[in-house]
Amino acid sequence: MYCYIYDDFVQDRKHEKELSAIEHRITDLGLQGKIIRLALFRDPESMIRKEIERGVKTVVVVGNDQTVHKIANAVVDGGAVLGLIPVGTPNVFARILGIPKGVQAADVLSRRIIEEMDVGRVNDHRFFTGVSFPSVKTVVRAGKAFDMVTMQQGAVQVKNLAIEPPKDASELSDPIDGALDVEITTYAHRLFRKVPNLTHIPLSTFDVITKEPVTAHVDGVPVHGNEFHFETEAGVLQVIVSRERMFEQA
Amino acid sequence: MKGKVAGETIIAEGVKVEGDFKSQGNVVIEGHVSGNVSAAGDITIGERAQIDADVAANSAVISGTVQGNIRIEERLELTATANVAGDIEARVLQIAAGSTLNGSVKMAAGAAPQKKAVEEEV
Repeated sequence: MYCYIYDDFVQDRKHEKELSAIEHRITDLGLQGKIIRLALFRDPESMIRKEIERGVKTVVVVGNDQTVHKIANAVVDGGAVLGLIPVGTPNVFARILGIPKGVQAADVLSRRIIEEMDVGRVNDHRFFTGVSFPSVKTVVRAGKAFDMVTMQQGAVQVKNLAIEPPKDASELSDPIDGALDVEITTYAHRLFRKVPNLTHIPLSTFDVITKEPVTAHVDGVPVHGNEFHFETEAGVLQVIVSRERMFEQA
Repeated sequence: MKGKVAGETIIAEGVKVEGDFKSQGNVVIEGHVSGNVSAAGDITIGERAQIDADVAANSAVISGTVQGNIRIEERLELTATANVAGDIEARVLQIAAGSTLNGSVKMAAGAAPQKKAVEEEV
């Protein structure tokens, strides 16, 4: 049983033709289901939770990375399978899963190759792609074991998959290893030029602490604060992928 | 910028680790670590790195400064820029001219792979 989540922006006239073609293809493939249209002042998570309680097994997002982020908690908590039909940008998540834009995404749904992926959690927010912080002095605290301190301003990224669209699999964090990749870019001064240095460490539970409150972007959605507690939930997301996905099969 | 290898930990210049740091894979240190470092894999300590504690790993290449004891299961290489103040223990040891070592050296009994190789040739 399928349920389709249309983001607010997808309902703009500029997507009308694309949406119509997708709907026709879904009907042809016999994958019809209830359509939920997101709008201002409507709580997407409670609507999806109700649909899962009524027996929906697959929740298909029609939208972008931020649409996926809006329904992440409900899908993971409900144990439903997540499907994607990418419309608009950014769609880093769909690209990594190997899901093409538009009508062809419906064909991927029908093939139903399901992968179990890790999900990141920062404070109360689940995320699938990653979290980026602005370039400030930061402490990454790995429990009682150690603190990793940036001696200068450094941009911190926490990746489950990737934050920017990756060129190939080598730029991707492994989403089935039970850990998040913490990356810090700092700069060294060498003869009138700044050389970027990358710190990389895989961690499953840790905190990112900044002196002043900052705006981090969780799956592209802004979140404000100065203490961010991270956890990894191993293999809790069931997601439909294509054979062209950018990460190895489990 | 040096790229990352899957599962590898890199502590770059400009980053300081305070506390005991353990890794199940390989570790590259170019920054500052004040706390014990241990790796199940190999450790590379870069020219600009500073370690103020003990180091333990399967094998290691040291080009930076270590103030602490070093215990290596297999091969330890001190390059020409290495500066070590502490005792070292390794199965195979290679020390380049120009490196500084202030401490005692202990090598496991029976660890003489090069001599063994000569005997095999004979």
